[in-house]
Order: sequence, then C-alpha cells, then structure tokens
Amino acid sequence: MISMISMVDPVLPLGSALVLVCVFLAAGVHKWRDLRHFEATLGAYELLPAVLVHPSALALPLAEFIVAIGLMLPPARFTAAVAGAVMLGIYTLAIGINLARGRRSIDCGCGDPGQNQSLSEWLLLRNGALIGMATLAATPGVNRPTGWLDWLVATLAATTLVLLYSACNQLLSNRDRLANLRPSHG
Amino acid sequence: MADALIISNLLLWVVVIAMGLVILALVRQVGVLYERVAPAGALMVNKKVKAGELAPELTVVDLSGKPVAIGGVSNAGRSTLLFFLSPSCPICKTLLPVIRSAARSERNWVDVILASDGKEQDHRKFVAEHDLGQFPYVSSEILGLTYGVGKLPYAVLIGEQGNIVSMGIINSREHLESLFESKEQGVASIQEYLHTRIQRSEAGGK
Repeated sequence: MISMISMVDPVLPLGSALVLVCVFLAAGVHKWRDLRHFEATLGAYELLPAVLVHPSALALPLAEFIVAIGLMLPPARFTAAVAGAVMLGIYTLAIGINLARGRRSIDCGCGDPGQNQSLSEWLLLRNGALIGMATLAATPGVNRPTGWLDWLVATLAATTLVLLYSACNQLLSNRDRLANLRPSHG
Repeated sequence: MADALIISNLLLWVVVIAMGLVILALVRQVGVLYERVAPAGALMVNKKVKAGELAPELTVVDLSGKPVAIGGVSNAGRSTLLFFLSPSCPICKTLLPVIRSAARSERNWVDVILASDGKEQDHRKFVAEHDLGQFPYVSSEILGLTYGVGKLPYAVLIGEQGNIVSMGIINSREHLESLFESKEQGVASIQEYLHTRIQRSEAGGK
C-alpha cells in the first residue's frame, strides 16, 4: 500500500487538489449566499439538535472556505485534504442516513439554492469520487522535478473534471425536474 | 518527436475541455427545457377539485381542539386561504414570513388556515418553534386528500361564496400573490392566464 501511494505521479495529487479547491469554493459560496435556505436545509436533515443548526449552518461554509484555501497552499495541502475528506465523509453519512430513513424528497443542499436536488444514491457515488480525490490530494506523490508542463496538465485535467462535475450536478437536478413533470404527481 | 507528442497532447486537452463545455451547455439546456415546459407560477397539478367549482365542505379540528369549517358560503363575506405545509419541508419554512405578511396585508378579506398531516407532536413543536399560534392549524389527512394536494407547499384560495378561486404549488412570494391576483383578474391558474394571453395575442395578430 505504502509503495503504491509513493508511486503516484505528482500531477495526480496536484490536479485533484485543484478540482477540490473549485468544488469547496463553489459549495461554500452557494451556502453563504443564501444562509437562511441552507439553515432550513440543514434542519431538514434532522440529524442535529435544533440549537446546533444555526451555528453549524454558519460553520460549514466557513470550514469549506478554509479547506479550499488550505488546498491551494502546498504546506497545508495534506491537512486540508484530510479535513476535506472528513467533511465529505460526514456529508455522505448524513445523506446515507436520510436515504436509509426513506426521506428522499428533502433538498440535498449541495448546489445552488434554486437548483433543488433531492437525495439519491447518485450523491453517495459522487461524494465517493470526491473523497477519492481528497485522498489522492493528500498523497505526496513521487519525488520528481516538476515543470510547467505538469502544472499545465494538472490545470487542464482539473478544468475538465470541474466541467464534468457541474454537468453531473445539473443532470441530477434535471432528474428531479423531469420527475416533477410526470402527470402522476397530480 | 517529443515536440510533436506535446503538441498533440495539448491539442487533445483543448478538445476535451471544449467537449466538457458542450456537455455542460447541453445538460443545462435540457434543464431549462424541463423548467419551461412547467410555467413558473403557482402551478396547478390537481385533478380532484377544479377552480370555479364549489369547494368541498368539511369540518376539521385544529390543534387547539376548535372545530374549523372549510368551504361553504361565508356569513362574514370572507375568503379563506388554505395553506398546506409540513414541518419536514424546508421551502415551507422559508415561506412562513411570506404567509405572515400576506395574512397581514390581506386581513380585510381573507382568513389564513394552515393545514398539514402527520404526527400531532411534530406539528405542536413546529407551531411553537415558528410562532404560528396566530393561525388556525389543522392536521388532517382527509383535508389534503379531498383537495387533491400532491406537492407542498400548496395553497387553495376559497372565495366568500364557497367557490375555489385558485390554487397551486407555492414556492415563492410571487406564487402566493398570484393566487390573490387571480381573484382580482378572474383567472384560475397560471396555465389559464398564459393560455388566455396566448389566445389574445393570436387574435391580435390576425
């Protein structure tokens, strides 16, 4: 296992870190822009005691900003990546618990407030992929000299992945919109 | 040779990113399409009762144990806004201030009744947490079924003659106001409004 981790090319941790920076920044900004909505969403998860909902609704976006900034600073990257993985793990657990309770119709609170997404197994898969990237971002990678080409490749790969991530989120929210259009809801 | 490989690689990246952009644009367009098909406004998705018909009359008991009569001709000449919500629906919570302000500004002619179903203790907690004591709060599954409520938050405006003026899913202040507006304009729903507007513009075009 150790040897496998040390085999990782430095481009992969770098690219993963860049993707997570974008994901965490976007998530934080969305929550921060409409805190009241996020607070209601968090309350709907029914996991936190009522007194903790308000402070958590403030703390989570702030923590997301800190993780995003930490990932951009090489000395803090390892800690930030681990913290990011832990946060994603908590979110995934919260979604999993509510899926197990059968409460699928609550808003996941992942994207735009306008972009309501109900809970589904796809979110577990999506978060699993993000946790995988956070693990990758926490690995130091092979110690080889890196040049401009590595940075370029990491940036381009991160751009592609962020675009695909947005497309996946859009598809998930489209799924709900399509379900709303079915006449059986009348 | 190495140069050629680097150039080919960069070119491939450009193409991959361009394709990513195209995919994102496509799924966004699909999303917009789904949204357009469903007009914004208090969308009516109801087959049990129709706007313009008499509202089904029934008497239910609110949380404080008082009987609340719904439907029928109002002796006081007042209309009733039945607002269906649930403690477990986050959008409902964000609409509470809207309901309060609407109840205040329209208090001359409309009474607001909050309706839900499920465990009574949840509702009591909900009322206490959000200070909803000013409204009659009814927990009745039959009421929701009778009025064909499928999605929350949902509202039904019953006129003073006991007729259903308008109803629909309420996701924003504009949606709620569209119900009051429809009483003034004499249209039952956003669909009817759009439909008559299209007909009018077609007639105007000829």
